[in-house]
Amino acid sequence: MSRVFVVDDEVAVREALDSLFRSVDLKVDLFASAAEFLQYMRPDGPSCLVLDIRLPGVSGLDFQDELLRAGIRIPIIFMTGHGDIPMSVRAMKAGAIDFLAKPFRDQDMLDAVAAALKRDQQMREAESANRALREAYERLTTREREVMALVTSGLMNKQVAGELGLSEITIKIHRSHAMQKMKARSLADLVRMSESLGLQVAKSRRP
Amino acid sequence: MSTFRLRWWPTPPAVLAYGVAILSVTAALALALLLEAWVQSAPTVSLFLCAIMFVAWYGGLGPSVLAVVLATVYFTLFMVEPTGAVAVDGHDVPRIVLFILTTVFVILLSAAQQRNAQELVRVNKALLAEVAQRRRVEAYLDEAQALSRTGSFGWTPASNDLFFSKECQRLLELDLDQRPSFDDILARVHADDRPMVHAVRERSDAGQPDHDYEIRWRALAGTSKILHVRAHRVRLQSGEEELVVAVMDVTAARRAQEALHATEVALTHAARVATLGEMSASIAHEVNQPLAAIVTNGAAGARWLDRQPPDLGEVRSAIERMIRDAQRASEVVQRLRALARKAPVERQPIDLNEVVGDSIAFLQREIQTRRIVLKSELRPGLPPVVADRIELQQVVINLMVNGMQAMERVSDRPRLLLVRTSSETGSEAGQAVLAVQDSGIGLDSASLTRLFNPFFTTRPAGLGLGLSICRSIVESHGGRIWASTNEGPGATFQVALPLSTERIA
Repeated sequence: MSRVFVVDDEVAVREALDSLFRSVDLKVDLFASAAEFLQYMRPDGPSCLVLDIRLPGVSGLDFQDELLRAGIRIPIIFMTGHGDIPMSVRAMKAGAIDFLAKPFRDQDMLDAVAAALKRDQQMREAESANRALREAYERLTTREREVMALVTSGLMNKQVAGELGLSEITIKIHRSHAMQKMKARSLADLVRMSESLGLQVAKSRRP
Repeated sequence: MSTFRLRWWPTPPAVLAYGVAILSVTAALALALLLEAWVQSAPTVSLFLCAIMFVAWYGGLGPSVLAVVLATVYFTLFMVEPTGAVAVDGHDVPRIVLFILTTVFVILLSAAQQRNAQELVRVNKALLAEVAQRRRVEAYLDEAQALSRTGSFGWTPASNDLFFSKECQRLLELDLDQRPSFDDILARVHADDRPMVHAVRERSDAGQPDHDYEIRWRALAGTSKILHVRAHRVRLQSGEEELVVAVMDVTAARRAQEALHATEVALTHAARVATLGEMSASIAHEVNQPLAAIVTNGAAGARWLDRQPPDLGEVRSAIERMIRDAQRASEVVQRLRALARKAPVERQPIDLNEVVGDSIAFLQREIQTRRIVLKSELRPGLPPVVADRIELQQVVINLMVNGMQAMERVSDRPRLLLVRTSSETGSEAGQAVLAVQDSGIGLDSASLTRLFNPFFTTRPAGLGLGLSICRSIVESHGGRIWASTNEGPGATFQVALPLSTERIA
């Protein structure tokens, strides 16, 4: 279930946004301050943050930085009473989805929220795919990892055998085990996975 | 002025006076001898008495005594037998004694008359001196009245008798030949002020001795004068009551005062607008927030309506929120309009706590943005003060904004702003006191003395009018404003205002 977190010190604005988001079947949580939001245990699932840029205590922009530093990756839509360009540039550079001046069109807000939730969904999917890949990789033996790295770097089986001082047959067996474990349908598939995992190509020991 | 001249010549020299004595008596004798020779009848005694009276009148005591002696000698020599000798017959002695007694009596009479005459002259002189003195005083008084533009008149209510000083005639432009009555005088008072004069008269009749008031007076040229009238009721020795009234023409002073007041009002208004200008971002935000909420509520309401089936409960609550928020926006606008309005000053009993509450509400956004910790200690049941609500609010807002500005660069301690109201006992009894205490940069002693002067400011962008206007507002309300440094960091500004004797209407 998609969730929208609203942080605004103005109760009237919070209540209005609450009604708007619920009218399109979004789950909403309301917070009067950044601190309140941080204390809240967010349920897992696609979500985004609708944040007023002027908050008591800490500004919305500083809060955005704080979240980034804490590794909390949540798409942010900023609202502002009187937006200026330097503020919006800074917010967008730091990864904000949108920057809406109050009063905003409901459709603009809903579009921004939809875009934010979509991005969060994608991020979450990418993250979970990555996690599965990593788990599969964890199950490879050391030798299989060596072979996978060298093969996906573009070396022929023979070259890999030479590199590792093993027979070509042995390399073929390791390679097929690795592909089975990684659930790779082709070499190209394995290469993409290797890239996703960010494997470093082992340096050739020979000149 | 005529005088009672008893002698129109100065006291004659002694030689002349004695000479005249000898001459007069001798002439009387000669005349008596002549008359005796021609007419056979000698009014010698009468002639001698005439001569002695003349000498006494002319020469005084010494010459008249000489005249008496001489006359006695002549009398015994020529009028008593035997003539030509000093010898006197026994039967003539009574005649001679009678003659001497008569002459002495004449001398005494004359001396008494002289004394009376001299006394009269002295009294007359004193009287003349006093008259001259009075005239001088009168002239001084007239001059002083003209200089000070103060006329005076006396009025005896019982006899309706009026007496006007010269300056009073001039000032009131009265034609005294018409013998104006009290009612004629009253007719010249501005119609709106007549009831006041009647009221004063009633109070006077009721026994109040002193009166002090101002009226508008219809001058002859169709213009009007403002007169300051002070009256005092006195009981004359005759038992009659009289009102002594001094009338001052204060037209020029009042006009100047009015012009000054108008300038002050304009300046106060300008300062208020300037304060609003400084807070414009904050104010815009405060209006924009409810507007944004209204727009979003409207959109949400429409979406709830469009659902299948429509959720009317949600629509209703969206509409209710819209009404609530619109009212709030309108309140903000009204508060602003009240402050920006150039309204005539209107004093009435008002609740100081309420004004402080309004000011805090007005500055709410500013307080948040500047990260101020605001504490208010408002004494419950504070009696009302007589003030113009907007002007008083301006003072409170000004002091609060000042306090907040003083804490702008404070980052090592809480930015605490304390607003306190109290009603004082002791030396400040009968006053409400407002204190605004900050924990800012504080005041040095040099600033403390100049703080309330116009154009004194410690802020680079400051005009330096805020506090000086606060002072002029507070003082025009009969109050007092002062600043002091705190025990800890920061400063405290205090305003004392007289409490109203009335309750809030």
